[in-house]
Amino acid sequence: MSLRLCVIGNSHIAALKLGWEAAKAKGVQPDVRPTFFGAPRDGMRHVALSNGCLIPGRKDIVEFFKLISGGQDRIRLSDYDAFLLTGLNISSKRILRLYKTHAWVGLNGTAGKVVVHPAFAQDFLAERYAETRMIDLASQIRATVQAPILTVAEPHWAEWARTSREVANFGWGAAVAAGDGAAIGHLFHRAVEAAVAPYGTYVRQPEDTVLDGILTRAEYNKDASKLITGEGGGTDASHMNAAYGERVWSALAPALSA
Amino acid sequence: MAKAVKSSGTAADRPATIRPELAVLGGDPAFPVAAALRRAGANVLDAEPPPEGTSDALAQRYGFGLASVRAGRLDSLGLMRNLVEEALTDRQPRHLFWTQPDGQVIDGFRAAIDPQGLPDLAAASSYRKAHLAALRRVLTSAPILILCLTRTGAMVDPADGSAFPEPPPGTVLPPSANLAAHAPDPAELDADFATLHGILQAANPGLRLRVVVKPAGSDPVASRDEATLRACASGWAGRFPSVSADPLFDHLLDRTLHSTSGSGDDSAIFRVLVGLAEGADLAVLLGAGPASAPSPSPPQLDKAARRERRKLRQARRQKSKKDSSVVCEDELLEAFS
Repeated sequence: MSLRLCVIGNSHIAALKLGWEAAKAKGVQPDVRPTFFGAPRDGMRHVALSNGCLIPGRKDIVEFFKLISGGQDRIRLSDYDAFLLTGLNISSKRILRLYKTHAWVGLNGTAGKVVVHPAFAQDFLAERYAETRMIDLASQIRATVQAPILTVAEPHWAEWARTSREVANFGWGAAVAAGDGAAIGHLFHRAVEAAVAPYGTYVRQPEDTVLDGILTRAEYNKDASKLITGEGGGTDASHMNAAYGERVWSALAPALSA
Repeated sequence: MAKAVKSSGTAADRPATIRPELAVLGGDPAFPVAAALRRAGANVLDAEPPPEGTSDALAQRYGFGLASVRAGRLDSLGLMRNLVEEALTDRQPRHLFWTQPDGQVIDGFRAAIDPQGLPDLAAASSYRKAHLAALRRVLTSAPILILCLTRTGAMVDPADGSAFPEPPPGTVLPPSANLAAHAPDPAELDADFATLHGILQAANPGLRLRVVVKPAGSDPVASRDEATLRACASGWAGRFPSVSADPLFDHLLDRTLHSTSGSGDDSAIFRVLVGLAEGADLAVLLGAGPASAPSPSPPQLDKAARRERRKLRQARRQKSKKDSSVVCEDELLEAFS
């Protein structure tokens, strides 16, 4: 019998949904029956636990739940064998913000920064990630049911964000130019693992979708949004496409079958 | 690694006007003078601040915010003299770095703040250099330096007379570093202070120093140390025109550290405490309204330019929020409809 998987997230579940359909069309999807719930931006902050259910407190979020799940206005936690939490503010943008002001051993781009021990950097980030909606939801689910909880972060931004003036500059270019992308990406994963560890398992962004440790290869961002021109430009570097979603399902497969 | 010195204070505490910058040296976790002054609204420099958003518990665990640099436990004059000598002169302690059995290298002068150590001597040395550079910027730029003393003695390396804080339990020292507890007599303390004062004045001729001695409470050893340090501090204030020491100030600091949240009484104490720290006269502070800053304030930023920058930031934020809202909703609607 297929695993009943509850997928909860923000807009980044779109890639998972599209990827699921793509994998299904090829007959390579994991043996799971996913039900999606989500809301854009920080909409999941307006969802509260009550009587074993996660219930939206705003009408627009209820509408999103119904649209996305196929009619359900709440998440009844006992209905599922496992949970997959997606995005929900776990992003490498946060470590890039830290990298702008602080540095640690193993990095090259240290000029003008306060040096800290790498253990501090990891603890600081784990503490910050522990305050995200992702971990908040994980703790609520874990307090209610014992089903496995898997988590995936928001994808790194598309590689063109490094040089584009069309999107906010979180410092990808500086980090990559200094040769620090891989080290930053590594610490990002370790910090998220530490934040998630009390509740579940963190599955890293598939390595073959990653460029320079902290970016996503452009092919996984192409046509991800209506605002993407499809010709190498665009204004949305944060969301990924069906091909990316497919790769994430592949990365999740071992954990889902465990 | 260079970093502009940051004047800090929590958002809630931050004074509305730009106050003189205070440097604080001395980091006894039981007597966090920099924290007390920040709480009272003083403009305390922090050249090695934690990232924004660091919790108090994490900052405390890694030794942030105790002083204007992250120097670890720095509670005696010997430790301060060592550190200032290392930052502003050619003196190099012989047993500065301690290699552990697992190969990690610990900075012996501030072993407690990064007890895990660093992977090799080059890394430890680079961290030390960055720390000293930060300290140099503070010591050469601040108009006022507050030295906080808790104890008279320290662990001393007989090889070269360097003082060290107590090593954390389990730390392995170099075989030739036979640290031993040393309690200097007042003459030694006077000599240490004269050395320290001379180095500081040479680096920053206008620098004014305030010596703070931690009120001891009922502990007999601490009380003995307090009495010795108070007598010495009083002597230093009499001997050097740029030095001040005042038990009232020290007790106000202690009171600020132990008071709960800002009552009306606290705000009066805060005002006097900050005024004294900035060098104002007590009589003026008690008689007049707001604490007057005797030092010339740093130049005010151009208000029109600041307003313009703020507008631009807000516009950018709003644009970014609007764009991301559209994109996030579109993503979901496209995928699920």
